[in-house]
Amino acid sequence: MTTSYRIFHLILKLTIAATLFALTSCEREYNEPYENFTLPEGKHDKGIKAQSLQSSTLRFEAIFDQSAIYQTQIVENQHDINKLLGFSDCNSFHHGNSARLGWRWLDGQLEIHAYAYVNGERIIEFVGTVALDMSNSYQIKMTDDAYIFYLEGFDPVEIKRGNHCDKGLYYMLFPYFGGDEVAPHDILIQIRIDY
Amino acid sequence: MKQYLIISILLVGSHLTVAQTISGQAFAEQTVMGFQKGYGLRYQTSKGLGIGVLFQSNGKLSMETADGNYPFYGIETILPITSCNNMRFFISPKIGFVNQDFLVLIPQVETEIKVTNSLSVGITTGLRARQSSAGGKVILHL
Repeated sequence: MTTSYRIFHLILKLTIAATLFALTSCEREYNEPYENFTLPEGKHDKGIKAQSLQSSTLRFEAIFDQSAIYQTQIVENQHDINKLLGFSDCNSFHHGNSARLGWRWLDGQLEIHAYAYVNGERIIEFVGTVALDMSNSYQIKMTDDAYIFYLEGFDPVEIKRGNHCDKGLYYMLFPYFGGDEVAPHDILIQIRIDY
Repeated sequence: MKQYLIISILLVGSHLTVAQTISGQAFAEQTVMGFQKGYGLRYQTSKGLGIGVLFQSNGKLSMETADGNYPFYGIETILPITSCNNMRFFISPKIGFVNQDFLVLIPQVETEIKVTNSLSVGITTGLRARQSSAGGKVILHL
């Protein structure tokens, strides 16, 4: 058997295996399992994940567990906002124009915040609080002139949008610890994006 | 009218060219956004290298712009990996816009099986929003 024939058979097997795997994992629409995002001890995040936003509304469910309880080394850093999920605005870097939901453990509760950059200016607004070990629905809706942040059970928060570009790349932003400090221990966040 | 004109030009063009193929394709794909159907046109050289335009969407094959249908308009590049008898393997990444405004890149590999001189079928596997997608297609060589 020639080398090219072996390569051919290998590619054929891989393609069939990949297809079968994909087809057998197709019952996922609206019932997608949660994806585990671990913020490793001593780091801000686990590395780069490349994904682009696919519509003007980002809907997802998230579960924080007991690992979301933490104490920063410097007391003031307890007020820093950690990032949950969001996206950069059209053809902008995220420190230029972006919208994310953020979180922090403060005063014995887990706070959720709207966290946006508008033309380089950072804007943070309190949205609500969530219980640990419970699934909650979140949403960021982008209109022509605003980002609207939703958390079930609380009033939506609106932040004016600064970017007037429509067509282009909107890259997604995934969980990140900090702020200034890195994660003091492994923190697990389970997220399911709803399409 | 414009669509007929484009198709006519492509049909005539395909007869004028030698050892090159213009193909029409209809396909269905299971993605994390749901089941999508689509169609497209592709141009390929005799070595399999090619480029194509395509449209795909959830639900009806219409130009609906509802966000929930995740309509995708884009182009695909076709890069041959290897072939054997009546089978050819390609890397066929797609790039285009979902919901009109959102630029996406979809890595994909494709296996094409030639049934007759003018008809092939294909299977595809890809990554859509970091999740696996899979599909099948019918390719008509014009």
